[in-house]
This record gives sequence, C-alpha cells and structure tokens, in this order.
Amino acid sequence: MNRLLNLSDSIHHNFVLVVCVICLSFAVSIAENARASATSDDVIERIQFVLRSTDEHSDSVLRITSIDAREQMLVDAITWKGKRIDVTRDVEFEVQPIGIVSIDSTGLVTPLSRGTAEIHATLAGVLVSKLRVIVESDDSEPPVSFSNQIIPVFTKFGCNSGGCHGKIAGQNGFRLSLLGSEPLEDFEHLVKESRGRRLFPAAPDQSLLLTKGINDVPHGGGQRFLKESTEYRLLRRWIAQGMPFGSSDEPKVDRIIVQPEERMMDAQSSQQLRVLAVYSDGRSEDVTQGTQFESNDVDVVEVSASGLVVCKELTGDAAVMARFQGKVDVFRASIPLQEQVAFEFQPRNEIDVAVLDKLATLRIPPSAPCDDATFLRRVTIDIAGRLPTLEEVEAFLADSSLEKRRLLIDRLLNSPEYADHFANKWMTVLRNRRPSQAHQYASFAFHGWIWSSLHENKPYDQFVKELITASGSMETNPAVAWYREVSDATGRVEDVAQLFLGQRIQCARCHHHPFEKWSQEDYVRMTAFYSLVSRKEGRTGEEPIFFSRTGGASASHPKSGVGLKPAGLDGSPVEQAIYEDPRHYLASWMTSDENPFFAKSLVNRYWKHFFGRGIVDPEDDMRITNPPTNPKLLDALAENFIRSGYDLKQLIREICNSQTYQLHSIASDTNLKDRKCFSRYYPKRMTAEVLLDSLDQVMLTTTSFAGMPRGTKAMQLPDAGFQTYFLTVFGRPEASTACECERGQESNLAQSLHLLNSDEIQKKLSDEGGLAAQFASTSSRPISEKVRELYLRALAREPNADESFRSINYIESKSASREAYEDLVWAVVNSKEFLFNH
Amino acid sequence: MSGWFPEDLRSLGGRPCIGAAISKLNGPVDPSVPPFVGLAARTQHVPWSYSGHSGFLGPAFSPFKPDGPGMQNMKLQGISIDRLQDRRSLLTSLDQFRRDLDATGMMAGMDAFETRALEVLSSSKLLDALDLSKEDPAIVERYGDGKPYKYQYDGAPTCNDQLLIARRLVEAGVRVVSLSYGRWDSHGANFDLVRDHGGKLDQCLSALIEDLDQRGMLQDVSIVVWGEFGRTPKINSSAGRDHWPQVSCAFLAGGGIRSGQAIGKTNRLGEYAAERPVHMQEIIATLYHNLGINVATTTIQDPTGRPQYLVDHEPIAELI
Repeated sequence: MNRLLNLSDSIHHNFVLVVCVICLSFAVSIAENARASATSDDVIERIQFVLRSTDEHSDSVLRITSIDAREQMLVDAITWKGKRIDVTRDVEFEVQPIGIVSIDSTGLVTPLSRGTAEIHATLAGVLVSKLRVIVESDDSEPPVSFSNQIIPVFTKFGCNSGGCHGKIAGQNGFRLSLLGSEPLEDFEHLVKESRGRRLFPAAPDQSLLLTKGINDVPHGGGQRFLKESTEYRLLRRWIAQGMPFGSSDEPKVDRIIVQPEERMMDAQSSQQLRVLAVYSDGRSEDVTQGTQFESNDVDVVEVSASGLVVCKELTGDAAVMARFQGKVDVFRASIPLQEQVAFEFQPRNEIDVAVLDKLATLRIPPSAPCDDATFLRRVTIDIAGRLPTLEEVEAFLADSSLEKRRLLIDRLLNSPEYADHFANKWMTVLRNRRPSQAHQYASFAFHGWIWSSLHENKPYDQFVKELITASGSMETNPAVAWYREVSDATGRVEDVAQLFLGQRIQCARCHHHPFEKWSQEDYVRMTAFYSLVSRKEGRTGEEPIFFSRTGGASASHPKSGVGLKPAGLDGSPVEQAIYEDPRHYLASWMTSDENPFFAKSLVNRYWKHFFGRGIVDPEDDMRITNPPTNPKLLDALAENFIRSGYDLKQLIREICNSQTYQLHSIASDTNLKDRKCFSRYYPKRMTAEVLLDSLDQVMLTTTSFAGMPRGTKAMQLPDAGFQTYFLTVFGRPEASTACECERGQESNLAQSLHLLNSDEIQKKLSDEGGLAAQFASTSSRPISEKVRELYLRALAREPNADESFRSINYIESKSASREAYEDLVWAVVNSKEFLFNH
Repeated sequence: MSGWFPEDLRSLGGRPCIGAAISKLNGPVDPSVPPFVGLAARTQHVPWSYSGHSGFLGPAFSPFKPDGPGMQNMKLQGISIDRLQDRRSLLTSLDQFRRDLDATGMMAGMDAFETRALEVLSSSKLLDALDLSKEDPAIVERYGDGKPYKYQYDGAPTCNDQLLIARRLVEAGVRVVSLSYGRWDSHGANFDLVRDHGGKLDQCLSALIEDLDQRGMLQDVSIVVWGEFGRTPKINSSAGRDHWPQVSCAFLAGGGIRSGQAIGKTNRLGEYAAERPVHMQEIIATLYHNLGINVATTTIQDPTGRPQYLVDHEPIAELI
C-alpha cells in the first residue's frame, strides 16, 4: 500500500519533499507532481544535525561547558544525490527531558541546568534526527573575562566601530579601540577614566554603560541592546563581579571557523551559519551570536546579524565575511542558474579547464569564440597598446594558417610596443613622477630600466628583487628612483605590500586591520626591513644616492615602544648580521615560491589587465574577506607562473592563447549578466594613452609632447610629468599612488565635449596630411574603397553592406568634400566599437 | 580647503577639498554646469591661486577652471552646431554596437554625456554666467572695481568682478566657487596694503552679501573669507607684519548661520587665542552643515575602500 504525501508547499519553498510511506518504513521516490521549478535532484532522503567541525568525536553528542554558552544548531537535509540543504528553520525541535536546555525556532540552544537531554528535530513530521546534549557546567557564575566576553559585545553592537567610539578621537569623550583590538586600553577607558563614572558595581543597573546602552539615559547612538538581552545580563554580571579584567595569560582566539564553508544554493533559499572560535588552549566555542557578518555582494546574498544568509533573485556567487575578535573567515555561496545548458567550449589549457568548471557549476553558458578581426584588434590593444595597422589587418584576415593566432601573440610579445605598453603600466604604479625638470634624468632612467626589464623578459621575481634591494645612484642603478619618490619606510612597506603581495596593510599602521589578520606588530616588523635605508647627496639634490647602513634592523612598536626585528607577513623574525642589508631578506621572503601572495598577486593583476576584472577584484586587495571568484583558476595561473620561472611573457601567452580569452564579447540572454565568471570577453574602454595613440594612428596625425622627439606616442611617455588635457580628462594617472585604481576609467561630460568639440580633435581631423585630406584629394578612387580602408584602420574589419551604404550616402550628399570625410572619420572614431576594446 | 594638512593621506592623493567632496556627494545641479568652479587665475606664486584639490577623488572632481581647455570645449571650435548635429546623426546611424554588452553601464553613460555635451554647446548656461555684460550695470558698479595694486606682483589681482561672477555661477547651478583676492603677504608696508585691499574687499564683499540678500539667496549661500594664517602682532622694521600661524581670523556670512557675532578672542595684542579657539575644520564643518551634510555620519570611500570622514570636528555650535 503506497500513500503519496506531498508536503512541499507547506514547509519550504526551495526543495521538494515527497515521502512515500511503505509499510511503516520511510523511503523517497520521485513524484510527478513535483514543483515545476525544482528538479528531481532535490528529493530529500534524510536529515541530520551538523556537528561542530572542531569536535573530534562523532558520537552525536554536544557538550556544553559554560552556562553562558549559546549553541547554534544546524540541521541539514540530504537529497538522494547528496546535496545538502539547510532546514534548521523548517524542522520542529523538541527537548527531552525539559529543563536542561531550551531551543528556539532558529535552532539556538541555551543551557538551563546541569544534566543530559536529547534534542529531536523533525521535518514535516516524518524525517527525524536526534542529538544528545550534555550540560557539564554547574549553576554557579564563572568570572566574566573582559577580553573574551565583554569586548565582543562592544564589537557586535558597533560601539567600537570606526563611526562611533572606535574613532581615533572617540565619541563624546568616550573612546574604545577600533573593533576591540586593544583590550587593556578599553578596560582603562571604561573602568578608570572620567573618575570611574561609567560603571557602578554597587548598583550595576545604574551604570552609565548599561543605562546608555539601553537608551534609558539619552544616548547619541540610540538603543544598542535590550534590558532583557543576554548581552545586558553578561555586562551586568561583569560589573557586579567588580569588573575583573581577567588574567593576562587568558587564552586568546587563534582562529575562527565558519560552518558550512561553502554551499550550492538556490535563488531565494537561505542558510544559517555557525561560527566557532578556537582558543589558544585548544578549546573551541560557538560564537555565532557575537560574530559580525557582512556580504561582499548584497545583490546576490544578504546576511542577518545572527548569521542567516538569504539568497536573492540573482545567480552567481558571493562570500559572507564573519569577523570575531579580529579574526575572520568566509562562507561562500554559489547560486547556479536553474536550467541545465549545453556547453560548446573546448578547453585548451588549464585556464580553460578552471573557467569551464566554474561555468558548469553555475550553469552559465559561455559565448562563442570570436572571429579573427575581433581577436586581432583585441589582442593588439591588450598586448601592444595600439591598433593593428592596415597592413597587419589585411595580412591577418587573408592568412589561412591554423597557427596564426598563436604566432600573432608571439610577434606582439616580441615587439617593442609590448614593452612600451607594460612599462607604462608599471611606471604608473611605481610612481615615476617628475615633480620638477631637475628630476628628469632620474625619471627617464627609471622608465628605461623598467622598459628594458620587460623587453628582455627579466624574470618577475628578479625584477622585484632588484627594485626592493636597489642601492646606489640614479646613474648606476635607476631603480633607486623609487626610493626617492617613496621616501619613508611606511610608504615603502605599504606600496610593496600592495604592489607585489596584493595586501593593503595601511590599516595596520594605526590599528589592527579590520578585515584581515594583520596587526600593528606585523606592520611594524615589515617597516623594520627598511630601517637601515639611508640617502646621501648625489650628483644633484634630485638625484640622491641610496645605501643601507650597517647595524641591527629594527622598528619600534608605536604603542609599546619595543624595538621589533624585521619579519615578513606571517613569517618569522629575521636574524640579520649587522653588515647585511635587511632588504635582501625581505626580497627573498617575498619572492620565494612558498610565499602565498607573490605569484597570485601578479597573475591576478595581469588577468585584470586582459579581462577588465580581477579574479580577485580590486586586483591589489587580496584579503581573506575578498575571496577569488575562481580559486582554482587563480591557483593554476600562479602555479604555472612559478613553474615557468616567473616568466611574464609566458603568462601572457598562456592567457591570450586560452579559449576563455578568445571568447566573443557578444552575450546570450543567459550570460549577459555575468560579470565575474569570464563566460565572455567584457568590453573595456581604451585607456587615455591607447585612445590618443589610436586616434592619431587612424587619422595619420601625431601629438607633440614637450621635450620629446616628434612622433613619440603617448604610450611611450617615460614619466607621469606629461599631462595633456586629453590624457588627464581620459584618466591617465599622475602616478601618485601604487594603486591601479588611480587610473580613471569612468566617463564624464568633459570627455564627450572633448571628442565632440575640441580644437585638438578638430585639428587632427582637418590635418593637411590627415586621412580625411587624403581621401578628399584622391577623387578618382571609389568612395567605397575609402570607407573600407577607414573601417579596416579603425575597427580592423570590413564594413557591412549597411554601413557602407550609409557612409557612401553621407559622403555623396556632401559632394565628397573634405569636410564630409572629416565627419565620417569623426563618426567612426566616436563609435563605441572604436572607443572600446571588445 | 579640506581642513586637513597636505600630508594627510598623501600616499592616496591627499584629502579632497570641500568643493570636490560636494561634487562627489551631491553631483551637479545642472548637467551642463560643473558643480565646482575655481576662478583664480594662475599666480606667479602658485599656492596663491590654489582653487582646492580633489585629493584621492582624482582629477574628475577637480575644480573647473574658466581659463582651461575644458572651457574652450564649451564654445564651438570653428564648426557650426548644425555640422555637429550632422556628425551626431551620422554617428548614431553607424554606431550599432550593443550597449548592453557593457555590464558596467559605461557605454550607455557615454551616450548620455554626448547628448548633454550637445546641449551645453547649444545652451551655454555656464558661458552666460561668466559674461558680465549680461549683468545689470548698476549691480556691476555696486561691486566696484579693484584696480591693480603694486604689491600684488606675484599674487592674485583684486578682482572685484569675480565675486559677482561667483554669484552668477551659483545662480546657474554651481555648488562651490573658490577664488583668490589680492595679495596679503605684507612683510613690508602693511598699512598701505591693508588700506588699499581693505577698502576694495569691503566694497565687493558687502555688495555680494547685499546682492544675495536682495535676491533671497543669502539663507542658502554661505560665504567664507579667510587666509592661511595671521600676521605678527609686532610691526617689523619695514612697517610690515610677518607670518603668525598662532592666530588667524575668518569671516563668515549667509548660509542661514546666526551671524552678527564674534566667536573666540585673542589677548590684547593679538598674540594668541585667549578664549574659544576655533579649529579650521570647525569652519569647514560649518560649511558642510550649511550645505545639508551631516559631518558626523557622512563618509567618502578612499581608493583603499576605507570610509573617510570629511572632517574630524563638529560645526561651530554658536553659529548653527
């Protein structure tokens, strides 16, 4: 006897539970009346309590050792295909016997008294999982720890955030350290400052801390917690106990773990998170309630204060950051498209394998491969920073060799324009500025050094090593120009960390990094590497000589004043002999194959160059809480880069030869919204330098730059001192930071006005030797040929019939005047197809 | 004009001045009128024509300078508006690239800016604002003329017209106008200079306040007049007064503040603050307050993604 029981609508919106009851035993089958949006994969077989991942024993026992504990239960449903779905808020909880623990509908367990109990979770009345709970603590109240229990309350409620009492100056006279990074300072401020008026142990409820917190006494920050809350009781108990600080050797939080680590989810479904803190004594504790959560993409998922992740309509992936006591971990959610799609994508290398894997997981179909004309223009701009010439276009389109794309990439990499383009990129972030004419020798020499390094394909690790350890004069070692421009140890550390490690450690100069693990000590130890760098007079005041003094490298901690020896991030302190330059240790640590940041940071930077978006984005902010969209891809690129001996040209070869790079930018309805999985090439506006050079190239004109030989291209300008209005308005950076973000790629009115109505553009259009003049002067040549030439020059493709027709029509309507040709050239170079690389 | 030292956040490009910050926070009032204009023409001693710096916000938020190429582009460059329209229609008929392929929305944005650019070229609201021949001559006269002064060899001219232009710009939709007036670095002949500059400034400043009042704009427009520091209380041997950063003064008007009071006090000789010293940032904060921006809660992200407060001080309580 079979009874079909369809409960799906009454319990949950995102999965189907169809249970067949056969002779009192449970089994699951696929029902025909399953909800249309769900697939048969979602039929649930069983449910299960998810144990704390730090618990060694697997005997389904939860031990609670403190009366203050609050344990977040997680209950997973497991489908017959093995997929896990969070059903914590869908099950019915029941505790037997009562009085030991209580549990609410969100699965939060609170201990009540010593003893053993069993929690039953029942889904839809049929699927059951059980968990034994042992409360081991007695009913007495243990002393509250200020660092481990009180500080997290301030962090959770935002009291010590940067917008409130955590500001450097505090708020209305009361100051806390940012996110509680300095417990001792906070204790002093809270307990002793202002004649101790903030706390009142004789009548704890009258303490200003509590009356302000619940807004009984007017509080600028309003009500932060309720009088009935656990946090209030905890703070009150701490005050009643006489405000103990606890001992200085109390265990500290070593790390936190978010459970689950990652999940495949459906749009509009939800997932409860649990956060475990592991202390230095090995003990672990559920700190979900004290943790702060933040989504990195609120269009995809949102997260509540208690760690409930809710997916929205969009597909894609997102990460949720969890932060507790300065430690961070992330939960990653992937929300695939609902429909299965067929893929026509032949992986050619590891890049393709990793990208395809991601696309298959999210069920995003990639675009078709691009045609030859598109590829030629795209790769020439991306590698050489220029348009293909008329001759190159005609030759490439006529070439029938199967190897032609690969050969083109090699040819471009060996051309001087490759070095021009990438030297321009590096020169900017290495801050090659020319504050005055007297700096010209140094800025030109430094550019020359970068240019040659790239042209001769110096291994990247060697390039970085030479830069970091640079000593000498501008003539003997132009790389010291960087030391002149970045003149203090903090600037050097921050630049180097951002440029070569993708780590923005500036925050840790003044306080613990709020989104990373870096402390002030980590920061200071990095600066110690630079503590012996000195400068002395060189040939001129603008060309000083840099050298390393003898002595022991150290830097003092701004709070304790203790001198610290140099150490790399996460590395151990360096024992340096007094005659050694400590920067060599920095360089070796940084460029070692084992350094977890070095290779990844570079491949990610270059990936962004080609795809317009980093695997981690922004490309130089590779913190734990800003995870890669495709970790496998990042790892594969980094491993290959290390294996190649840090060969930059080889990296570019690998990227440009991949099928991924050679996909069309044209999207289907299904991958149009994809902005981070690389299912197609994302169009990007040409940079200021490429655009100016391309305009000149198409119009057969040149731009002159003060002090440079005629014919110098914008891409070849050796330093940031050549700002023309065109370059500035289209976002050429001034090289005043190490951040690629200094380059402005946004559009504005001034740009449109310049293209539409500037003297500069009009002069190029009407130049005597320009393209329009040439077209107008050769009246015997058919107009159609001229239109074709313009299209080949500007867009590297033939015009289609429609474009030809309209263009010829326009020229004829203006009786083939020079002005008519000017207008046509203007129209083509102002089209989006021209302005963008696509 | 950010309220901060130039060194602050220098590695990111520095702090944005109030004009740049307002442009970022509020954007333009009218798409064809820039939100922040710096009228100061370049002086030989460059810092004296400082119009405010966009800092970490980048060049897009720099002050619009009426003497720069940006201005040139607002006047037709030798081709007629009809020909521009022809070009634009030709472009529209040829430019078939799918805008939606650019998920950042930039292509669509560029189209919108192109349309606006044509509007600017056919309307020129900004050009009109800069053109004093379009102003009532009686009003031009009321502002007075600040004929050249011999001490200003490397400083700004005493150009009274600029105050009138500033009012016209604000009417046209500019949110912040900055300008430099005269040269006050009186290391010698201080009293001649102050007599000359003082009278001229008095005329145009009183004219500006009166003018704004008569137009019903004074409640909405804040005026601040100040220098970077004060002058020595002691007169030097060439009858001059040297640099004295210990004490300075600022003049505030309009913007709905409680005007007509002096805040703070120096000792008898003007050597140091005796009562209620006011921080530079309090003045900047007051200006933000008058523009409807709450400095206690408003932040702008710097390039590292860190939210930065505009200033660390509160508006001047006596004024608001």
